[in-house]
Amino acid sequence: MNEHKPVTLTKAKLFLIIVLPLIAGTLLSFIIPQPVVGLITFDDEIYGFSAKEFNTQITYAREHPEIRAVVIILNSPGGTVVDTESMYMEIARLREKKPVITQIEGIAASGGFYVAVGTDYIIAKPSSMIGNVGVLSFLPDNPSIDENLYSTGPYKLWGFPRDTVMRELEMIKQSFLQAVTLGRGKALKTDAETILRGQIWMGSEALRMGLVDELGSLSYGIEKAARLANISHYRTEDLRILSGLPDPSSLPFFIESPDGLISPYPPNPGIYLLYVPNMEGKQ
Amino acid sequence: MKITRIVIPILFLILPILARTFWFYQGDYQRDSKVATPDYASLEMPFPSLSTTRPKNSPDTTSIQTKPKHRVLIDFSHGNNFDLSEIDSLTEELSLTGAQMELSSSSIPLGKILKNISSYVVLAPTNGFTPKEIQSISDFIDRGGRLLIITDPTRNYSMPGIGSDSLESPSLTSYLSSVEVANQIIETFGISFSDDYLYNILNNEGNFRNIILSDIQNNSITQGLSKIVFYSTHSLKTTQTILMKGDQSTLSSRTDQAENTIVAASAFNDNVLAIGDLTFMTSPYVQVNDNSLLVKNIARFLTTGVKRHDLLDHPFLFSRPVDLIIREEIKLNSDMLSEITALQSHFEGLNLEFDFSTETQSDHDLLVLDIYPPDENTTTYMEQFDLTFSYESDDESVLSEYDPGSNLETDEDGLNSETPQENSPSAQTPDPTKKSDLDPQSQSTPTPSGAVPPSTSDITSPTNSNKGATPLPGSISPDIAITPGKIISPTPGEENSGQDGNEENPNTVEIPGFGKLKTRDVGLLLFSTESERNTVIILAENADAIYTMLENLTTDLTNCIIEQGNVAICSMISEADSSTDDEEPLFDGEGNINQSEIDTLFQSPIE
Repeated sequence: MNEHKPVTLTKAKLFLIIVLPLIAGTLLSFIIPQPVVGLITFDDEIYGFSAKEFNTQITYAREHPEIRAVVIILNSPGGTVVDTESMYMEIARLREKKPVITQIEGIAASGGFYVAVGTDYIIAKPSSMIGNVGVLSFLPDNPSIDENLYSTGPYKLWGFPRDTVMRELEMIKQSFLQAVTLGRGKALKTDAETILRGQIWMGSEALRMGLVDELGSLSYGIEKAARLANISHYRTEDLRILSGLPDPSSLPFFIESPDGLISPYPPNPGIYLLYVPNMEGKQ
Repeated sequence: MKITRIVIPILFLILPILARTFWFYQGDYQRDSKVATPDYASLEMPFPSLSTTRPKNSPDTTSIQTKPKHRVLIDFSHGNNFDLSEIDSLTEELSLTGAQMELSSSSIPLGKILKNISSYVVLAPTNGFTPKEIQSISDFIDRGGRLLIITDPTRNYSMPGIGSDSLESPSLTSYLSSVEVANQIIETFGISFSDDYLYNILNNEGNFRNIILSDIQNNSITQGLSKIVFYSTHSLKTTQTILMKGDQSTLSSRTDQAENTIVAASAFNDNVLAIGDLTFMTSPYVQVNDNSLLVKNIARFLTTGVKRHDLLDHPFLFSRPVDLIIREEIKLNSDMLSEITALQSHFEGLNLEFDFSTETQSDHDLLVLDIYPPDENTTTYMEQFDLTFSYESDDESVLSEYDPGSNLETDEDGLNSETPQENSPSAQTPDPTKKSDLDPQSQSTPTPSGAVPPSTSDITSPTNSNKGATPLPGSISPDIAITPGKIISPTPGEENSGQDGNEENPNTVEIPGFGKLKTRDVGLLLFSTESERNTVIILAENADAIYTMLENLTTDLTNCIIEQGNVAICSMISEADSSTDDEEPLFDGEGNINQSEIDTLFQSPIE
């Protein structure tokens, strides 16, 4: 008759079966990156340079899996139409993979709001300035001819008939309205006519109208982004640094005269999604 | 046992990995739906419907060839914030109607310009009107003139470089809005512009500022209109006729309410038209919907008014070539001829032809010079005037020599006296026995401009079928009434004597509402418009008085009182005469009548 011999785990066996795999597993676990909530600070008018830097950070977030959510810290009165649309479209691509939150600080007007409604969630301060939905533009002069300057068509130099500019504004306005209604969806509690008045509302009023989702702080916004991304024990990173951009700088957006007075209008002719406050005399 | 030795290490290998994973990640991010973005490709620019092709208007050639009936003044003297080229659509329509357009000059007082104008157009004024100008405009409209006044929110303030150097409004520049200036003129007619603009967020033409107007009232100005678009417009308030207004979704920028959305109104029997937008008539917006038709209606409004034409329009009493008819008894002395020369220059300055004539032409205006009492030819033009001439004479020798039943004879001076055919009122004939300076046969004085004064045989009266001498009453009858066209019994000779007449029984003329005046003291300037012909009749005591009256005609009528618009009573008494005769002048040199002299004049000549 056979008798079971007692199994005795020698230290060596214990080490091989438990400790070693545990150590190996622990080392391997570091492959799992700590999730990151990426922060993009946009505190500028929207124009070519600022939009480019913004899109660089958005692209970085999209291409790096450890970035699980993005919070845009927004403080912008808007700017050029095409750059606004460029930012909006890049955000839309990012949103396919990761949640994007907008945390409105001082102002999100016109193009700034256009960008905000392109994100998943909008958090504002009670006194943030929000809205100013609309488009503005200077009209070109009526075409004329010059003896010394020839062109091959009546609008080669002027670009558009004056009447066409007016109608293009209307078209862009419609796209802006669509962006707002699509972005806000069922949360929107006001009608198109009210939105298109171009008014600016305070954060608390914007909340009642459904233009924003919540009132809260930046830390709350980061936590919200983390919840949407189903992550915890995350860290936050400034995507400007991660994407290798230099320290923030901006080019003058509004016209500044030699004596320091800033005009309320941008220097270059064009169509703008822009909030133009009375800045006469502002230094 | 062998299986255990494999599974346990694997578990311990996976455990840290799982722990870390769940430590950081509680799930995967899943979107509920695809990210929605605007359908940019489907967006289109809104364009309005254009007006239908209108029949090509052919110019009215007859109205181009003849003197234009309507003169339209376009104001450029009050910082008007527009270019003439912007209203090409309106000026073209006016040209097609044959109207003549003039641009106001700041060097000529507005009141004077308006005398020769039938319609006044004020667009986007930014320099204020003086009280005198406002009164002139009010008088102009009171007399049937038409006013078009338009403001525009996009032209509310003066542009740099635009201002008025008007002699009458030199200091009102740049600080008034167009609304304030326009309201100076039209508030008195029950219309006012509001300093706002109307907008419609949802129902508009290309922009919230461009409102669509379908609420159009039935009126001659809005005839045929169904849809108008105004490109930024003020709203109006009015107690008069509302022509067009916005719908319930059109709001005012002042209140963001739809309380008052009137954009066009008329007043004063549709002689005043106020509109809150100018852009609608500029290119290309004039082509939208019925805007061009509205412009055409406005042009018709400006050229169909009937303005009362009377002596208040002096010096613009004539609008066509002027024929001069002088009564044969009036001697063309050097003073007279020089004054006629001045008269010719005066008419040349008004761009009017002027010439002596023996026959009246239907397409010419008329200037008649005659002495008291007017002859039958002259009285044919005086039907509307209820004047009574009283002539008396106790000179029986004069009467006895004048035989109303005698045949026509030629006296030693070559004057013809005509045979009376019956005892009926007829034209007055001169007293052949009384030599006077009223000798039309004197041909020694040269005539101006080669014109040949008519001889007695050349003058024909269109209605003079009875050239017989005036039947004289058997006795002198005072206060014999002379109704126009029918002189009952004037005393021949007395009126042609050139003398002051009997001091105790002066000849008089009675003017309704004014009383009797001594004919030696006054000259009359009568104005009538019949069958489109303007006729001015100058009546005075003698040739010297006629000369004075012509002077009044070519200068101004400050020495005259204008009664009921068509009778000017001009003083013939100079200060020298009055001092010599111990009489005060009838007028004080500023057109104000001397009351004491009036009291004297109104005394009955028989008393």
